Amino acid sequence: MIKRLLGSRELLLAAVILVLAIVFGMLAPQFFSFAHMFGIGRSAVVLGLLSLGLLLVMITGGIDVSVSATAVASMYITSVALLELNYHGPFLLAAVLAVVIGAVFGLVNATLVTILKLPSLIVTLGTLTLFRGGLLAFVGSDRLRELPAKMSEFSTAQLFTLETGGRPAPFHVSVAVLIVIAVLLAWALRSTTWGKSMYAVGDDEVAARRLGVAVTPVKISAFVLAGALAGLAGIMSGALNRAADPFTIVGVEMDALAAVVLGGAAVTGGRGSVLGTMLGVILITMVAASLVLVGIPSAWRHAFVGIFLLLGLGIPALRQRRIEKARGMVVSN
Amino acid sequence: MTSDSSANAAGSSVLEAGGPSAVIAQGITKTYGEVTALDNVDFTVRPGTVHCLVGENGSGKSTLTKIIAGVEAQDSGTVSVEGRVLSSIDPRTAIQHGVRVIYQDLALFPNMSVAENVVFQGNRSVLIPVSNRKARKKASEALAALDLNIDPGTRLGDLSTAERQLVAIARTVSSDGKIILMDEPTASLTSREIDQLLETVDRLRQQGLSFVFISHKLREVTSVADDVTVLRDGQLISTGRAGEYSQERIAELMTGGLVENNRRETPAQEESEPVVEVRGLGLASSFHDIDFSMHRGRVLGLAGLVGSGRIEIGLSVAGLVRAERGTVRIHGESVENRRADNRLQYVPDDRLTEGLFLDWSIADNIVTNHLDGVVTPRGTVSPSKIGELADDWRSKLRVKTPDVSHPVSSLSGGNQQRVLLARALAPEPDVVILNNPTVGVDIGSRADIHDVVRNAADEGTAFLVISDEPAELLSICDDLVFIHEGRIIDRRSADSLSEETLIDIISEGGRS
Repeated sequence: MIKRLLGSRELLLAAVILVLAIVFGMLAPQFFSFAHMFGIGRSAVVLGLLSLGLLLVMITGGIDVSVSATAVASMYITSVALLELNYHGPFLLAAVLAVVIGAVFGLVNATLVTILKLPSLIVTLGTLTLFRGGLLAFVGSDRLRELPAKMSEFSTAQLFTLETGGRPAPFHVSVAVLIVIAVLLAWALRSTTWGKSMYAVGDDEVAARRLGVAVTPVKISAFVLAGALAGLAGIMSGALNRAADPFTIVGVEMDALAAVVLGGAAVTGGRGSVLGTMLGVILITMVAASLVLVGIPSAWRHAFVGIFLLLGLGIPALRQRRIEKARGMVVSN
Repeated sequence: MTSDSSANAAGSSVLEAGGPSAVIAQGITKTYGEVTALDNVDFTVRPGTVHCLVGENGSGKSTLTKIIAGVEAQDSGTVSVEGRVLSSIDPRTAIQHGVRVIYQDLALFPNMSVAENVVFQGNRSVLIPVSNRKARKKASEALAALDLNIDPGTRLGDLSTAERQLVAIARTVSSDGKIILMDEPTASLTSREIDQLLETVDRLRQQGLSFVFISHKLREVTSVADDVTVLRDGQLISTGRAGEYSQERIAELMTGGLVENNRRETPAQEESEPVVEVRGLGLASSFHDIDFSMHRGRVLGLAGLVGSGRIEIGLSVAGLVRAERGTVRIHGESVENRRADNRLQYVPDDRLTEGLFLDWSIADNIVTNHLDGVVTPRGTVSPSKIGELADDWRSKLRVKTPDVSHPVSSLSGGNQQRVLLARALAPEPDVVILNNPTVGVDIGSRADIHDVVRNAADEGTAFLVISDEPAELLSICDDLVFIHEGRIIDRRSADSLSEETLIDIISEGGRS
């Protein structure tokens, strides 16, 4: 048991995060402030929600690179609609609308993947450009600075604020939302029949089907949930930035992919955990948020994400080869 | 959490005498393209009995199992379980009726733990909470019931083939099934493990469970069966009480009296100079210290359980997997890059994914290994030469096709296998390695393929044959090398060997 835990991806990631944090802390003392920590949390919300959605799809053996487009489209459509309607109600309703729109986009992906049986990478590459392009062409391309009041107010909705050393350290509500969703998903994946079916479908679809798993509904659920989570990520992003900009959240699907893969998910499906994914998100966000702090140009951020992605793929591949060799299984070359 | 209330409610009537049959399959017909896998087959399993389904490769046993399990849809005919006709053809319905299957390829989940694999029931995919602790406990009990010492927390993918087979059995046994279909459950088990399995089957039968047991090993069949059904080429040949069948009679019915075991009459003498010499070949824990020689015109067989390392040895000699230790010499010279050496050919068992280019024409498939034979003096490939060469091989191997320009996917399994053989033989190699050369091939084609191998051997080719089927090994091999857990445990000459003895050596792993 202990050996398995020591060998686990989650522990390795946590150790890497700790080491990097110590390095950052030594280079820039303000790194270890609550303000910076909570700030990292707030920056992690959008990536976190997108990564969780992507994780679900990857567990079932698919991939969804359209999550960023789904997020921005849900956010922008919701904002435009609410402004149009002169909406002044609570933010919650706006969030629900964005989630529903996101789920519909997810359903589009799910339909193409399950009914036409197209590979999910190609489908979602297509919908990535389609959602984004369609948004600009049909809905608009203006950056909207005047959001409904409750939506803008959400950007300062702090759950609590710590006063340490005279500097306020606010803990934003959205971080709590991310944590709650992560915990719920972790439970659903680990301890429900739905969760087990998700892993089964990704691990061996034929075997799952033979055991009576409703493979298509399970796959649809993954894509729809990914879309819904992307919708939520989008509206959070708009609210936190106090603007609906159709040109934001570009390329975040790559960060999400890196986070999920770093967290131990297999591109071939059947593997991956919420904890691992969240650690991946923390690692990427922490590095991105702290580069400037320690004096590295922020342009390096993408290079780091690339390195993380390759490490996330390379380490398990090497490990697997070693295991197979030790077990005497044929390593085909 | 795994039990199904509707299935349990009906379970009590199983033991009653004169109750409905566990399974009745009536008039089942199934075709794949031009091939008839099952032709109007009736099959009945009495409650609380073990019904052995026997037949050669490609006789339709696995197809019948899949139809009862709802995995494959029959073209016509009905399946009823405990007196109720299955309303729809899908695995879930069959599972709800208490049907459980151990598939030949096991259908396990490599990334899940052993416990998850044992307990996983796919029939519900909604948000029903499950207790991982209880799952672990249940799995431990199921494993203990089979006397298995496997940590339920291990990742399934890290287990050996035999261990996985046992996990698949544990899953079936632990899941409240009432009718258990086992497709070759003993293929990778040692004789001790087989005995344990048969004991478990017997115990569960006394508790009222019914079994469909598929096996090649006739001794198992006669020891465990209450009823026997023999299939051949998709036809129901014979069915009745096990007492009416001796091993000899079953063998005769399976092959249709076709004496398939006509062994090679006059194998070539061992010459002093071997064509291939394997010395001290080893790869990690896959196989060790493998020594053997192959001679001109002789057929050498590698016998062993599934997962014993036979296939890895074959791949390694073929140069497809790099061995860590040892040498392979061809005509006395050590050849490192054997993959690119046309003197040595490898024929894979999975012709669909590893062998043929399915969308290419038959002709193009045959010449891919022998482009030297179809080039013009100017160095371009000549379509007319390709046609000639392919036509030549078509008539030599009797490939049933009107035109070699048709795609290879239009052929039946047996004919595809001939194309694969033609491709290997076209460059006139000195050595051919065959991995299960007649998997999924009907009996007629099979005898033909064996003839092709014998004829090629008579002309001087040396063969290395890996096969799951004892009858096949005895039919075409001159010499046999027995592999157990990656080591050579015995060497025998094939003509002094009975099928019985061969199976004994294989499954006892040299303990006898």
